[in-house]
Amino acid sequence: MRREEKSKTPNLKRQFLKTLDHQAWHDTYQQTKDPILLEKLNSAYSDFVNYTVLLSLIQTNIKYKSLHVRERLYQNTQELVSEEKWEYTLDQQQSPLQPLKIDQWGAVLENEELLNAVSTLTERQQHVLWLLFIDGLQATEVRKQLDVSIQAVSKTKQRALTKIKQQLQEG
Amino acid sequence: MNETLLRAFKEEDTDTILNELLPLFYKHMKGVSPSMREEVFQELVLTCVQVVSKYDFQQTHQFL
Repeated sequence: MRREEKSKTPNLKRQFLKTLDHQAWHDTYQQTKDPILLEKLNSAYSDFVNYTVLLSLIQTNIKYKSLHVRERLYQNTQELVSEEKWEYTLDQQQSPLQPLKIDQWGAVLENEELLNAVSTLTERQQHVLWLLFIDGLQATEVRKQLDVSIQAVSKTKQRALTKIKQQLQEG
Repeated sequence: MNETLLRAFKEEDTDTILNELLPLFYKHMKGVSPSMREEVFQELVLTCVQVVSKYDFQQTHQFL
């Protein structure tokens, strides 16, 4: 038996005997040495130990799961807020480019489903994709053209591609 | 000792176990925003069910 278990056992036995019935059975057994009573005592003690250990396991697991889930959800929320902030920043900044027309995409995209998916993107997202994939600019050049940070370009591209992927999967 | 919970542990009656442990779940959901509450609750329920299913309640312990 491990040291930890050894130290817990007398404590569990003390707790077990705090129940009046258990104390009475124990006292009677000490006087009578009745084997049926011993069996009853051991059975009740097994239930008590199993109950206590299992409840303790549940409580510990729930406690740490709660902390873990909260942390994960908080991080997800922070990421979403952060992405929204980038998108907002990008939308707020002036660009010298004229808005893209869906006809322009139609000239380079033959796939109708892809064209429909692109049409659901925001103007900014379309601009970034156009500059990156049609004009073939590097992200650093797109950054200069739009006068935004490289992270903003990267995030917008990522969100746009995710949206297109979702649209294509739904379609 | 909660006798209803003890019986439910013995019988692996998950519904009763979860019902009896609702106060524990709520205690650990304090401060969780309403939009996240359902997700956190489901995670806690799943954890509880997993712990119960892994525990062998039939094991015996000798008092004397």
